[in-house]
Order: sequence, then C-alpha cells, then structure tokens
Amino acid sequence: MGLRYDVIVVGLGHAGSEAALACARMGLATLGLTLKRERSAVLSCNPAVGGTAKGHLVRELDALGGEMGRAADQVGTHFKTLNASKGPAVQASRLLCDRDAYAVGMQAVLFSQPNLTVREGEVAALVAGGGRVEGVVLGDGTQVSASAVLLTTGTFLQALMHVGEQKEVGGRLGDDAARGLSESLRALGFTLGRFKTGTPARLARASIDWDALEPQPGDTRVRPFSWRTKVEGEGGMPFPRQPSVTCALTETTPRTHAVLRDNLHRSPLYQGDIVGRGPRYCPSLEDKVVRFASRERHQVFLEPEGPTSPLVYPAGLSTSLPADVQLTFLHTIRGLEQVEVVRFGYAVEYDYAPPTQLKATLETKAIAGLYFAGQLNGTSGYEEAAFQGLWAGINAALQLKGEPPLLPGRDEAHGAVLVDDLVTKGVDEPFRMFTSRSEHRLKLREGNADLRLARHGHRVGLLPREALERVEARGRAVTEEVARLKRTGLAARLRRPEVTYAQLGEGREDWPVLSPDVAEEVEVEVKYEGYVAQAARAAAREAESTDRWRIPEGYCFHEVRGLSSEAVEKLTAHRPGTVGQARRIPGLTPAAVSLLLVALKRGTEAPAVCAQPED
Amino acid sequence: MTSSSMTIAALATAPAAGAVGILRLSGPEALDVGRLLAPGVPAQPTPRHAYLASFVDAEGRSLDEGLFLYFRGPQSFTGEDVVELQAHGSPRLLRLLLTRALEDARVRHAAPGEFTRRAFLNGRLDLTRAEAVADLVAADSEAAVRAAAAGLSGALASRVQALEEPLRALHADMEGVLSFPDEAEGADEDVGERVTALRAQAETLLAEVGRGRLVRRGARVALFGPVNAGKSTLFNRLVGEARALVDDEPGTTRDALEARVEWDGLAVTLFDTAGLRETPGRVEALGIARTRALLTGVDLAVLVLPPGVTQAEVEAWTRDVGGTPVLVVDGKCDVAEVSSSPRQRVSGLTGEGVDALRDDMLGRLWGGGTPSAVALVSERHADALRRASEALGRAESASRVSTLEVVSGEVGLALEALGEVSGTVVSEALLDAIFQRFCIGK
Repeated sequence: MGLRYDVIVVGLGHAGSEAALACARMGLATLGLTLKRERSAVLSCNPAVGGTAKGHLVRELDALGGEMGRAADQVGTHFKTLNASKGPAVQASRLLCDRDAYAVGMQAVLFSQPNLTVREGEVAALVAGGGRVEGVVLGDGTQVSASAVLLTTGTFLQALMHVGEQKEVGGRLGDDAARGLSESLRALGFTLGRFKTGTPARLARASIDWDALEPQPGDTRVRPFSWRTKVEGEGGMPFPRQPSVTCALTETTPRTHAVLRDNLHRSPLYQGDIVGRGPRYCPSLEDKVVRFASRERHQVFLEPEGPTSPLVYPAGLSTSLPADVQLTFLHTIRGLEQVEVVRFGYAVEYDYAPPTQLKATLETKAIAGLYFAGQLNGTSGYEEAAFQGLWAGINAALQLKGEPPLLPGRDEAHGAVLVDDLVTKGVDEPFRMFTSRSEHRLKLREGNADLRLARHGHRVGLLPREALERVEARGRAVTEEVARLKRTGLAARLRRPEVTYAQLGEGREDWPVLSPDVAEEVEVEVKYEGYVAQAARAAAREAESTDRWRIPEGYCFHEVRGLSSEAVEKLTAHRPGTVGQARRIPGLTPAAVSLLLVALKRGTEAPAVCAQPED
Repeated sequence: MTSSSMTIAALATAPAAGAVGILRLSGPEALDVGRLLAPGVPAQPTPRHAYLASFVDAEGRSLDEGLFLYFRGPQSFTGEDVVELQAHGSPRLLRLLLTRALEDARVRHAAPGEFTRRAFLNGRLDLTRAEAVADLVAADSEAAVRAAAAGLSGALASRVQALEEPLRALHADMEGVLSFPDEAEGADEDVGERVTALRAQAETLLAEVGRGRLVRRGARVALFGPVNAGKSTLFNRLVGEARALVDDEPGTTRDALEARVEWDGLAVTLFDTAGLRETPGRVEALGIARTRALLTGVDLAVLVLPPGVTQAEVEAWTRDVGGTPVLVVDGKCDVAEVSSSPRQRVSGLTGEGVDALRDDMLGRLWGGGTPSAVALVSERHADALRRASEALGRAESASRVSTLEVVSGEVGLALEALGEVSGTVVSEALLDAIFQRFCIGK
C-alpha cells in the first residue's frame, strides 16, 4: 500500500504552482512533485510578467484567487503600462521581476502552504483503470494514489536542447527531461505533438557599455497586479518593494545579420535537426533575418534580471546557433562589443498534448480525473500557463468536492477565451494570448478584472469575503455614479472625446469624492458604452445563429450528408459541443458548418423559426 | 433522408418558346425514367456524353429528336444521378415530356430551387453559389439573370475580396500595434485616412447592392403631381398602351394604376397616381392617402408639373415623397408656352421627350452604375455588406473621437461581416497577417 493524496500535481512551474496552491487552499490533500525543489516556479526565459493580454490574464488570475500577481508585485523592479494611449481595454501592465527573488518568493509560499506536500521525484508512469486516473508511479518505483492527477510538465516531456550542433537531453538548461511520461500518455491513448521554443544568451551585466545605449526607465506611475498588494499599500506598505532597474535599447546591425547568414548552415533550425514548430511571435534571430531579409536592424531590449543581478536578458536575440557564432554576432551590436556571455542561448524541443483532447475544465476526455495545464497543452508564456493551472486546479478540486465546475464564459475573461480556444480549436504553434482573440475585448479590461471575476473566486473558496466585499463596494460606486451622470445628462458630455471625468467635476461643490479606481472605471464605462453594446450585439447575433445549436454527445458526423471526409475527420477529432464551437474549428469551411446546421435542424424538433422546408 | 433521395423532375428552362428546352431529372431513378422517354439510349450510357435520341410518348411514337445527357452522381450538378433531355423548345412538347416523367410513381415534381438545394446538401455548391443559383431560378428579367450568373461565377467573391484585402492589412497593422507595441510601433500612423478610403469603397459596393436589389425585385417608379398635369397620358405613353382612364376633368385617376415593363433588361413597375390637390373630396382623399404611402416606398418618384407652376409649389410637392429620389418634369409641353424652365419637357400626347425621360429614369435608378457590375445577389449578402459598411462608418468616426482599440474593433466587425460572404474566418486570418507584416520576437 503506497501513499495516498486527493490530488497529485506533476511539475511545479507556473501552471503547477497555481494548481497545487488552489487544490490545497480548497482543502484537498495535495502532493506537488518536481524534479528539483529549488527550481520550482523559476522564470526560465525572460524576467517579465504581464504584457499585452498577459497583464489581463494575471489580473484575472488574481481576482480568482491565484498567486502569480502577488508574487510578481513583491519582486517588481521595472514597471510599464503598454498601450496607455490606445484604449483602456488594450492597456496592459508589464513588470520586470528580480528573477531569482521571484522563484524564492513563490517557493516560500508553496513550501509553507498547509495541505500541500512538495516532493522531488520524476513520474515514470500514470496509473489508470476503467477510464479513471488512479495515481502515479515514481521513478524509484514508489506508487502514489490519488483521485485526481494534474500534469503541468511544461517543456520537459522528451525535451531536447539544441545549441548549434550540440544536442542535450533536458527541459531547461541545467535540468533533466521527463522521459517515461510520454510513453505512458501514448499508452493511455493520447496523441502527442512536438513544439520548440528558444531563449537568448544571458549576458554579464558588467561587460555591457551602458553609457553607449539609450536608457529605458520604467514608468513612474506604477500599480500592482494584486488586490492583496493594494490592501497592504493602504495599510502603509510601500510599493514598489524593490529598487528599480533601468533597461536599455539597442539594435542589431547589418554586420550582425551577415554573421547570422554566413552561419545558417550551423543552425539546428535550418539543418532540419529541429522538427517541432516554434511560435511565430517569438522567432529566433536567425528566423527574423531570413524572413525579414530587407530589414537592416532589429530592436534589442537589455533587461537586467534584478537590481543586484549580474545577468542581463537581451530580449530579441533568441537563438540556437553554436556558442562561437553567438559570441561573434553579439559583438557586432552597439553596447555589446565587449560583452561576455554567462549562458548561451538555446532552443528546446518538447512533447505537447494537443488540447482538443481536453474538456472545458481541462480534464482529459479519455481519462476521468486526469487534467493537463500549461505548456503541455501547447501554450507558451508564464501567464497562459499560470491561468490554466489555476483553472485546472479549481475544477479538479470542485469535482472532488462534488461541486459544479467553474466555467466563466468568453465574455467574462480573457482566460476563458484562452481555455475555450485551446480545447475547441487546438493549436498549430505554441499558443500565446492576444486581446484580439476575444470578441468581447472592450469588456475585458485589466481595470475591471476583479469586477468580472471576484464572485467566482469567492464561490470556490479562494478569495476571502473581505476581498469580495471591497470589489462589490467599488462596483456599486461605479454603477451609482454612472447612473447619476446619465440622470443629470452629464454622461452625454462625458462621451465627447475631449472631456474627461475629472474636467466634468471641476469647480463643482456637489461633486462626489471617488477613489481613482472608481472614477477611472466610470469614465471608461460611459465613454465605451456604445461600442461595447455594438460588439455585444455582433457577438449575440453570432451566438444566436450557431451557439444555441447543441451537437449531441456522440453525434455521428458521418451521417451528415455532403460533408467532405476532411470535414468529418476534423469534426470527429474536435467533438464540438455546439455549432458555434464547430464554426471556430480551424479549416472547417462555412459550407461544412451550414451542412451541419441543416442536418441538426432536420434531426431535432426544431423551433418554428428554424424549420427547414420538408422535401 | 429517404424523402430527399426521391427522384425529382422539372423543366430547367423557362416555359416559353426558345431554341432549346431542357427537362432535368435528378435522383436514383433518373436514368431509368429518362430511358423511358428516350428508349434508344443504351442501358449504361457513357456519363457526360451527348446522345442523339428520339423522345417518345407512352405509345412509343416519336415526339421530337433531341439530346440525352447522363451525369453519374456525385459528378453532377446535384451530386446525384442526373439526366437532361434537351428538346426543341416548344413549351407544349416539353410539358408533354414532363408529364410523362411524372406519371412514373418514382418521380415527383421538384420544388422551387430543389435542384440547387440538393446540390448544396451534397456539398456540390458553396453557399454563395447556391444562393446565386436560387436567384437565377427566380429571376424574371434579363438583368437579374445576368446578375445571378455573375454571382455564380464568383464575381461577388472577387469584389468582396478587393475590399477585404486592404481592410485585413489595416486590421493587422492596428492589432499588430496593440499586441506588439514595440515591434509594430508606428504602423497605425495613417489609420484615419485608410479607414476613410475603405469606407468609401464599402459604400460604393453597398450602392451596388441597392442596384442588385433593384435587379432582383425590379424597380418601382411612380408618377405624381398636381391634378391634370398629364400624368396619365404620359403613363400610357411610357407603358405603350392605353391603361389609365384619361379625361380632362381634374382628379380622374382616383387610385394608383400599375403596369409592368422591361426597359433595357430592368423590370420596372410603373405607377400612375391620383393627382394631389389641396382640397380633395372624400373619395379622392382615400386615393391621395394611398398615393402618399406609395410615394415613400418607390425607388423613384417622377413629379409631373402642369404649365405655370411656381418654384415654391415645386418645393411643396417634392416634400410629399419623404426620402424617395424625385425627378421633376414639365408635362403637357405640347400646350405650354415655351418657357425658360430648366426642367425636362415631355408630352404624353405627342411623345416629345418621352425617350429622354425613360433614359433619365433608368440613369437615376442605376445611380450611375451599370447593371452588369451588379454582383451581389442575395439578401443575406446585402445585409452582411450593409453591416460591414456601418461598422466602417463607426470606425471612421471612432478614428476621430476614440481610441485605436475601438477603431480596430469596428474594422474587425466589418471584416467579420464580409467574411459571411467570402467565408474567411477573421481571427485566423488576422494572426497570419500580423506575423507576415511584423517582425516580432523576444
């Protein structure tokens, strides 16, 4: 008789950390397995948390009771609000962390969390029977049983690192790969694919000629991700908590590109050694030089990895060329003429599990109690991983507790769009979140993440009552003020582009005193009301026409007349639950969707408005 | 599904005298039944081969000689077995052949558009083309047939594409900036002008939709004006036969008369209205109320004026029609003195100026465009294009008063509406476009 837990989380990166904390905090006996304790929650690529669409995910995660926002707040050293002038819904926070401090801080939370046991060990195999997961077997033969197993293995499955001609087995520099698990997953009937990603060299901070470069200071107006940081701030705790760092901007030169072109034959990418598909939004420098051959320069942001860190992350220089080539091309870049490399850049290939094998809760369709989250699902990015980890953790815990799942709609959270896109569309390159993926973008702002999601966080038990009450009070204040403006006709004035909320109240004594986060929300709500309504109508029309047509479970797509075999194959593989989901399957033609709709209308007792004339 | 696999038959050409008439059969028994009508054709004819055959009646007597074509499913228009009998186009003969086919218990008459529907259900047509064919079936003027044929050949798709491509590039530039502020910096510089230009392009296409609608259901034109201005005489002249009761007593025409004509391939319904007077009698008042309602609903109103009206009166008359475009002419130019009025002069009595008036009316109806350019063939497409145009209108105003995310959002809505016509899925196309246009990476 081996060990027994309610939940086992395999891998403690950003997805695993959120999943393990959520399960433990929801009262379940949780085991967190990691290859190395001190490598838990490491920011393994760039030192930044947030960014366009990613900042949204962090705030949504925070509103649901996740940890990443709080952890980043504690160690933020450089803050930036992106798209500040492009509109409130695309505005996004990005902060650079003290990289080492982030991991240390998150580990402290993990290791002290009641109900959570963190243990080193590699999972050799999954144990399942009768379509249900039963536990795992560790590399040393130990059996651990559990009612739910969450796989959050990141890039570690069958991981292979490339630095030029050299290949090394491992999921991250200095770390081993997970080997047995891929076989075990295949044996259970899962399909696996192969992706790749890459990271640039790490530079010695002292060897950079900073004076020759354009400094990039952070914003002076900073705001934390987490409601907890905000509460502490109101209690007098200063924010930011770390000294700030200044980044610098430089760029590649025609000489850099010449070096790269001359050495393409030594790149594993162009030799065909790497078979996995990489993300288009995150190409290696050699990729950029080939694809954008006419460009003479590419921007490089030099980001110190912490106030006292001796390392610098050069954003824009991801590469898998051999070490000597990396050094040669680095020396052609202004400010880096004498640079020393501490760790060379590399590419990593890894197995991922196409996420169309998952339900909306991120539980696998084939094995009950088994959940996948994070990079294993073909995503990329800390924030995407963390959000999925939280989503899977919450839903696994709810299922064990016999409670209904937590499934916010696409109009409630970017995170919900992320999950829905993954499980219905699947991925053909590492998936990064973009605000443009959401048809409800104008509603899904960083600034109202708490208003949208706090009640869910509280319902599942991750967000305390006081926090929910704070959010509700803010929501009420916004609603009341918007109503007042409409009643008094001031809303019409505020809709004019040149009028701000602050100007509206100038010189008025009867003006209500509102906190900045209420005033801001009022202004956005009034100014955007028409556009939001427009977008909502468009989405509703879409949903009306397709989303309400449910496809019965086990529906036989072969029976649909006229569907091409390719369409049948796609539908059978994706198993969409509604015609709306079917419509979002990549490559499925509108005609195929129409045929499916016609078949469904004929096969059911359709409402009168949808009746199809009988033959 | 059994009901739809019944064999259907119908005449595939209009039941009018023409050079060739076609009887089409589709379904599992098409070949069997076809061979009943043309017994000389081999039992297993070569598909897509034209056989010269003798078409016979129930007694085996030859009715006509014609071509017999067999298309084996799924390589046929409907995706089922199809047989076409091409006979000389006498309506009576074709009806005889059809009746014979329908005498067979395995065959029933096709419902309107049913061949098309089967083709669509069997995956032989995409939605755009299916709708074009359906319009072709219902078309009752030459211009409508041309427009339907243009839709069928994908002309619609290429027109929409010409708008879609620059719009998608614009969308990608804006979303590139929003998702990658560093790498795509500056790509949104001239967004305002680009939106304005594309909006104008969409409006042009939309105007053609209006013409497309004109083609599909025909144009409606009403003559109106003061009593005894010569409307009815003009109406009769335009229609080419004596239809309206004409009398010199004011108010003779108490209700709208209508006649259908075809001018240069456009079906036009012409209305002759009761004259409008300031103090009408009760019976007349009814007619006048109807006239006002009619005038607001037609595509063009022609104001026919008697000699000696003042400019103020003209303006008062013009106000009666609501938003309908108005063409103003002097009627009864035969009795009027030569005036300096710049208005078009016409006489129903002598026919003077009538041809010029007809050309003017057609010109106003087409709005300067030509019917052959009309590519938009279904109401669904017209609606999608209208929504696209509206979204671009909002995008244009947002580019002046709001933020980039709003402009881009509206452009996205416009693209989605266009995608309903072209079948492009916006979200997928967007990311492809962004990655093609910007060099992005960490």
